[in-house]
Amino acid sequence: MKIIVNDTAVECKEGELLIDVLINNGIEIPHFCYHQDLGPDGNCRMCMVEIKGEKRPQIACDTFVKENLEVSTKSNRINAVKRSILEFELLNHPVDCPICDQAGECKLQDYYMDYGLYESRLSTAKTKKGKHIDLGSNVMLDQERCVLCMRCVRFTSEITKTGELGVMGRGDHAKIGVAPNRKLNNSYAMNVVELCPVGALTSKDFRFRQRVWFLDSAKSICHGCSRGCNIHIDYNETKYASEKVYRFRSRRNKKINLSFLCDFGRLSYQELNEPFEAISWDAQTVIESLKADKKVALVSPSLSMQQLQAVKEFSENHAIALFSLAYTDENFGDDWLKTKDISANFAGVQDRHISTSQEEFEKSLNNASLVLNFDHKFLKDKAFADKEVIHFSTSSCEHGSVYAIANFAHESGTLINCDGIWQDFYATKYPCEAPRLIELLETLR
Amino acid sequence: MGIKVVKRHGGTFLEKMYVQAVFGGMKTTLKHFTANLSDASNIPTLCYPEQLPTDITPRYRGVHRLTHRKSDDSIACVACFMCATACPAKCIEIVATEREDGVDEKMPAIFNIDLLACVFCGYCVEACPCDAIRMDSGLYSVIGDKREDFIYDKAKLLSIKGISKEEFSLAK
Repeated sequence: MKIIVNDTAVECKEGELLIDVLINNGIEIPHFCYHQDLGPDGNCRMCMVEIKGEKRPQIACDTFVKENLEVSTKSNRINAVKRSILEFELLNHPVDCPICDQAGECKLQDYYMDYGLYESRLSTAKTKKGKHIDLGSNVMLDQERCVLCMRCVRFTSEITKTGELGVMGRGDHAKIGVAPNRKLNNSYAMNVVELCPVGALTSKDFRFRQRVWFLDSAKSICHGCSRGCNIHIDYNETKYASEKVYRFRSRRNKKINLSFLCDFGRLSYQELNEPFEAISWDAQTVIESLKADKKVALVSPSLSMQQLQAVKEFSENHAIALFSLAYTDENFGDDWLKTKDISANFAGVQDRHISTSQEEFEKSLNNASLVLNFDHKFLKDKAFADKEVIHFSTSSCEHGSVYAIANFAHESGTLINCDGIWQDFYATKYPCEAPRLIELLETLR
Repeated sequence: MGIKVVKRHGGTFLEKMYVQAVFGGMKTTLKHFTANLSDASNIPTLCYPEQLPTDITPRYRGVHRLTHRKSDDSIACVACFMCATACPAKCIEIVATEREDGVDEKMPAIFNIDLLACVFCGYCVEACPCDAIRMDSGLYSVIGDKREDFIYDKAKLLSIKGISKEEFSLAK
C-alpha cells in the first residue's frame, strides 16, 4: 500500500497512523502530544496536514492511512496553520531559554525557528504559574513552560499506572501538578523528563550541569540489569574539564525498552565518573604471579561477549579455573523493565559455557594460591591472608593489586539480554586512561 | 555589465625615470620634518605610559566586566553559556549553579575569562541575552607576571567599573 506525501510516493501498511508513517520515513512533522510509545492524544494540534479531498487541515496523529491518500505537510496554508497553533502554545511562555535546561533540544525552540518567527501579539501581562517546583524523584516542574501536551500525565496513568500527575485548572490557568502533599513516586518517574518536549519537566540530577549542545552521544546498552535497555551515553570533554558522562537517555527499541528507562538505570551513569586508585600496568609482574600452581579466576557476568571470550581463552592457556557468579537481587525485579538478574550479560556467560557453580568456585578458591578477579563484585572487598589477588577492575577494590580497565562507556562489545537478544554497544569517542581488558590480556599471552 | 577602461599611468619616459615621484615624496617628508622641528608641541605622539590616551570611548573593546542588576546590585549573569558558545578562543569557563536567593534560578558558580587566550572580538557581548557581560571597561592594558594573573574570575570581573553611561545591566 502506498500514500503520496508532498508529491512523493511513500510505502506503508494498512492500519498505520499517518504520523507514524511520516516519522518512520523521516518526513518532518512537528508534534508535541503524540509519542510513538504513548500513542495519540490529539490535544496539541501541531501535526496538522493537508489532505486532498478534506475541507480542513487534519491532525496526522489521528488519521489512518488509506490507499493513495494525498498529503501535504509543507504548503503555505498548512504552515500558516502551524504558526497560529504555535503562537497559541507560546502565548504565556516565559521565554526563559537562558536558564532552561531544555534549550537546545526543545521542540518549542525548533518549531519556532521553523514555523514561528512572529512578533508576540499579547497585549496583557503573561499568566504567572509555579516555577522550579520539586515534584520528587529528581523531577523539577516549571508550569509556565508547559504546553499541556499531557505526555507526562499519560505516562503516569497508562504506563506506570501510578497516576501522580494531572492537569488542574482551566484555560490559561491549566497547569500540570501533583495532588497536595503528594510526590511523584515511582521507580520510572524520570522518564517524564525525557518525554516532556519542552522545558517544563527537567531532571534535578542534570539540572544546570551542562548545556546540551556541548554534549556528544554514544549508542550503548544499560548495564544495570539483564534487560539490556538501549541508551545514549551523553558525555563530553571540554578545555576546562576532563571527560565526564553527564546522563543516560533512552534509545528507542521497540523490542526491549520502547523509549523508557528505570530511574536506577538512568542514574547508574554516576559510577562511570568515579575515580579510584589503581596501579599502573606491568605485564612482567603479572606473568611472574601467573607461575603459581593453583589459580582461580572469577569473571563478572556484566562483561561483554568479546571480553568473556578473551578471558576464557586466557584462562585456558594458563590453566586457570574460570568461574562466573550471577548477580541476583530479588527486590530489584519488577513486572516491566527491571529484572532480578542485575548483571548485564549472564546469558552470555552461559553461552560461553563458563561455570557458574558457587560450590565449585568456593572449592577452587580454597585450594588456590592466586586469585584473578575480572571486575566481579563478589571479590571486591574480600581479603585473603594466604592468597595473592589480582583485580582487573572498573571500580575501587579494598585489597590486592588493582589494575584499572576501561569501563563500558569506553568499550564496544556485544551483550545478550534476558530474552536472548544480542545487542551491540559502542564506546565514547575519547580514549580512556585505563587500558581495555582485551588489550591487557594480549600482553599476557 | 560593461567594462570600464582605465588609463594606465607610468608609461611615459619621464615617469619611468621616477625622479619626479621621488622628489614629490621628499617634498611631503621635508614639509612635515621642518614643521615638527620648528614646533615640537604639535606632534601627535603619546609618551606612553607616562601619558595615557584620552580618546578611549565606551565602544572600545577593553577588558570584560560582568554587570550587576539594577534592582539589588546582584550578578546579572544567569550562566546560559551563550558567551562561552560564541567564543572562538574558548577562553570562557563557566560552572553553573542553582541560585538560592530567589532573584533567579541560575547563576554562575565559576566564571573565568582567560585574557591570554581571548582575542577581544566582542562576540560574547553580542551573544549575551542578559547584558551581563560587557567590554566597556575602557581597560586596554592587562598586567601580570604569572599566567594565573591573566585569568579573571567572577569577583574580579564584577568589580570592574564601566566607562559608559549605563552602569547596570539593561536586561528586563
